[in-house]
Amino acid sequence: MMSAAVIHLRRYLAFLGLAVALGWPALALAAGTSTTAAPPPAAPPPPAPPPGFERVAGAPDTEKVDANQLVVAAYAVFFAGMFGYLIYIARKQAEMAKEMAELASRIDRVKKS
Amino acid sequence: MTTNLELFDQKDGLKTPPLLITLSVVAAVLMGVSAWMVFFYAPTEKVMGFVQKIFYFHVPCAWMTLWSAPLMAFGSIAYLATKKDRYDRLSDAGVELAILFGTLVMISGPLWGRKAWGVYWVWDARLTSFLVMVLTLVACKIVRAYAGPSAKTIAAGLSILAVVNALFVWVSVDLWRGTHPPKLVATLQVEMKQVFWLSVLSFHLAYFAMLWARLRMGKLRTALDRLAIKSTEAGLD
Repeated sequence: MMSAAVIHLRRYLAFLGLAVALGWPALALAAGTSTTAAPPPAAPPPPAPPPGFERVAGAPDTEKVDANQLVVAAYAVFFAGMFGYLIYIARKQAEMAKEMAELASRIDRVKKS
Repeated sequence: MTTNLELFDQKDGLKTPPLLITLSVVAAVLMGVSAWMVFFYAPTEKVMGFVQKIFYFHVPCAWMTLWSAPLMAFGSIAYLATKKDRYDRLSDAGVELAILFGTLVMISGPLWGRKAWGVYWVWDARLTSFLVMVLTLVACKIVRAYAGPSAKTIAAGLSILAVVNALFVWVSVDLWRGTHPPKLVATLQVEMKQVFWLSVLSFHLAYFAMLWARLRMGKLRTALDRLAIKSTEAGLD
């Protein structure tokens, strides 16, 4: 009688062990976790910015600022400024040259007459 | 009639020296190559990211602004000592180029600052002294246009004030560690350094081409003024 109970108990424990051994990893896998793998390490903190590039105290979050727009704006200003100045000089010189030519020819005409 | 000049010929109009044309073309091409290398050759800085690309044109612009200081100093002091127009023209050209490059610095710097610092502007020693310098130079131009017969003398005085301010701008970042970064060029990666120095070279060439063209414009203005006096003497309106 006792031996039959022991046998039942052993069978039950073996079944339970088997169920745990097979079923738990499947459940864990379904839940997206693993019992064998160590928990993922915490993400390393972002490297500190070099001196002179730290966020000013109290400034709003800079993560949402689009760097592409800022760079494009800066380079657009560089080229517009430089070429704009060149165009200004060229036009000014052309105007003055025209004025000089007119004045010189008028002086010539007066002198000849 | 020969009106002046090696600059101008009545028959052919304005004569531009081939060397000035060559210098301008080389500067423009190099600047284009620099811009290409900034985006396609220089690596992206790890911490600051893409916004650091502004550095390659921002710093040379600041150097060009400060380059104008010795020109302005020499031109202004020589003009005050001799009252010769050619020194005034040199000082005026230096002031104008300093305003141009200074304005580019004042626009590009805050765009970078918005990402790095979180704000466009801080009242840091370098930023503030730079702003004061640019405003003094703008005052020079306003005085030159509206101050009448003594305009050149007052403009020369203001230019000298701006030069003293430029020296202050140069040392401010070492004397007071404010928000503006210290001098960083030595710490750059090799590829970044290559692109940076190419950009510096292209800006120097562009600066000298612009200075040359601006000096010619000043010379032409003087010649035109003389011709106007001649025409008045000849009985023309």
